Amino acid sequence: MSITTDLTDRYLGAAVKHAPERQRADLERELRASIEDALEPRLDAGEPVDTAERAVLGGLGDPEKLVADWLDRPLHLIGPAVFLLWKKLLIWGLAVLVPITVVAVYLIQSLVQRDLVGPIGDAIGAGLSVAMHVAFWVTLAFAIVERSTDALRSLRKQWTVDDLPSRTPGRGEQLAEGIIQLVAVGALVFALAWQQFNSIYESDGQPVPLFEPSLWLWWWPFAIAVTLLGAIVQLVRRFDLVSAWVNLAGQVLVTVPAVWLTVTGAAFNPEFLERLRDEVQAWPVLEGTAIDTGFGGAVIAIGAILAIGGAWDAVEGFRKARKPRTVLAG
Amino acid sequence: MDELSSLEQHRQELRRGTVVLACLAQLREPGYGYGLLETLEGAGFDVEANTLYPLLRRLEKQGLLTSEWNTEESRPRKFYRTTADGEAALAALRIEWRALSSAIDALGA
Repeated sequence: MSITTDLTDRYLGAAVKHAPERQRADLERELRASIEDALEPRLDAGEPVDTAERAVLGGLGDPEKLVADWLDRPLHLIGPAVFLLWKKLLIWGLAVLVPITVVAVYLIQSLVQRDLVGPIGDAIGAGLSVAMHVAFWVTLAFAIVERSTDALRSLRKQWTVDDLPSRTPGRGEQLAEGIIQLVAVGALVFALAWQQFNSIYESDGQPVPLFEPSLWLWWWPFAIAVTLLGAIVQLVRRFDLVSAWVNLAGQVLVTVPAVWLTVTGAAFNPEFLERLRDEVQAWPVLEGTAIDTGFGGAVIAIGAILAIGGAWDAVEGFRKARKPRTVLAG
Repeated sequence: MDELSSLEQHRQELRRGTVVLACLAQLREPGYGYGLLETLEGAGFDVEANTLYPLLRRLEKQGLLTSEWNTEESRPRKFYRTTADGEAALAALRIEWRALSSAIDALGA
């Protein structure tokens, strides 16, 4: 005859619920025996069943926690072994994907909606959505890894002194930069090809490209070749003075003509500009302003961005070649 | 275990390792959950039920203890017993314990 009451049954029910099928009977038997063992001396001493039971069960604590300890289950989502890795991945993922998404959505939507203000909301919404997805999937992946011991062991490599970031930008950084450049070239080529065959304007059933089509004869192949060469040099050489000069030369060859083409408007297809002008003149927000000044301002801004970007890149090349990162010595 | 003073946390850390040693030593004679709890408390090892029972299972999983259901008495109980691996571990832990103890004594002087 059991000395326990319904309270113990409820406790045991709550506990075994969290254990796998196979182990439930065993767990329940062992726990019940222990509880009864603990109750006996109290009951023999005259304590009423209710208070004794409450004391014993209270001492055992939260049944879910008890069973988690029993089964050696982690009481955390992401444990110390992989936490830093998770954090790094999460921050990188967000830092890269969210700005790209926001900018891309804004640009595309502002063209589609023919509005400057409305797309801001869309862009922010898209940015938030991407941020939540990144956070969720990265965290989920790591929560799964935490609970899969084999995968964990391979990630849990011991930190050694070799893992310190090196004093000069290392191969890793260099490789990353080279790859980014290659990807950028690829994206540029793709975008150029795309704009040739797709446009928001059409004339006689053919799309009106943004960029002057005759540029295809000499400018685009030239710019793409130079940038590609620059990317390959980046990948192959260390960050040294030679590669910095090469980078500067490449920048000059590409950026100077690009700025000139942009500012003089020669880069753009005149037909496209015509259509854009007509279109924009109809925008309510721009009513009354001088369209030409606006256009002029826009191309100068783009030219300036190109020039500054090119100059910055060239300077960076020299900076990385020259200074090893100084140690913060006393 | 939630809001202990730092001293209490350090004391717990100190005790935590010794409970394993005590279990392995005590269970060279087969024992069961509650009985072991009583014995340990009597011997001066302040350990709680919700720490001891999961510990016993963990040690069993590590192969240092083995368990068996005893159905002779009116109340069936799961008895634990130190294995050969457990004995070896116990011996190693004892040596470790004595080394630490003398090292600390040496520090104190």
